[in-house]
Amino acid sequence: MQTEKQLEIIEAMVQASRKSQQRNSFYYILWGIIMATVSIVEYYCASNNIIFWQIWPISGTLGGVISGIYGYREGKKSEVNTTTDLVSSYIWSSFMITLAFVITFTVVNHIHPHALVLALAGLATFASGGISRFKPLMLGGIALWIGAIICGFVVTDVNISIIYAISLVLGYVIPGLILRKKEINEA
Amino acid sequence: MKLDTLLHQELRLAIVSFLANDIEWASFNALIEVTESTKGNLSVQLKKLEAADYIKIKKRFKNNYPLTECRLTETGKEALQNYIQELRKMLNI
Repeated sequence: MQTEKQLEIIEAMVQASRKSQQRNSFYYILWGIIMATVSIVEYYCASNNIIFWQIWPISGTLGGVISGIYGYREGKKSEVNTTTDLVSSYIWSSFMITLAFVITFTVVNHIHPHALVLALAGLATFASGGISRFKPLMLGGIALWIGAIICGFVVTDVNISIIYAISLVLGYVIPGLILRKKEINEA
Repeated sequence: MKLDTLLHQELRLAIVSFLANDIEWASFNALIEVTESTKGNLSVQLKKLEAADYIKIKKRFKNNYPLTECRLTETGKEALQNYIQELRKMLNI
């Protein structure tokens, strides 16, 4: 076998392994759209003195069920597991456990959860972008952190919901759509 | 300069190179697709790599179907690194 041929094989396999990462854009788009929509509804309700806090657990459960079904179907099809996928799954599992604590803590203590949830989402999104070397996700993480700062220190009351929705569109939906395009191109 | 004879074969080099790049494990079917090899040839080469402790093969069931999982061992990683080093020396890179 010639030396050039060996290098070609190694290079081709490096490229093939890069294409083996799981398709995660679905989750960013789904959760971005659900949560941004819910916060706009929350803004409308708060502006019109309507109490409808139930929309959060309802939408959370709906998103969880859809994600679960999608994850189960994708898992059935999966033939390769990358280290990036594995690390990513640990990051998002840690995110969900901490999120459950943050939501419970803020609700029990009557604090707006928005700033803390955005900060946490920023951490997981930035880290996921970093390990998969995908800049739009890293920028999405930064957008979520900026949203967290604004929700925590700049705006108050009802306007928090609008900042929350904008942050999710910038942090989840847009990077998710760019990632989706990349996944389709690499398929 | 001496190249690793086990890796100095197209399919075996392709298998090890694929598994060495960010892959935790890959199924037998995935390796067929990636390396564009036949079932019989792939099976023979995997056995040779397993015998040299370059890869580990685990058989399990997934959704009631048998799944053959292949992952690279530390020995396999080292062997590939040495192989690439030798290639670089040959090419003066």
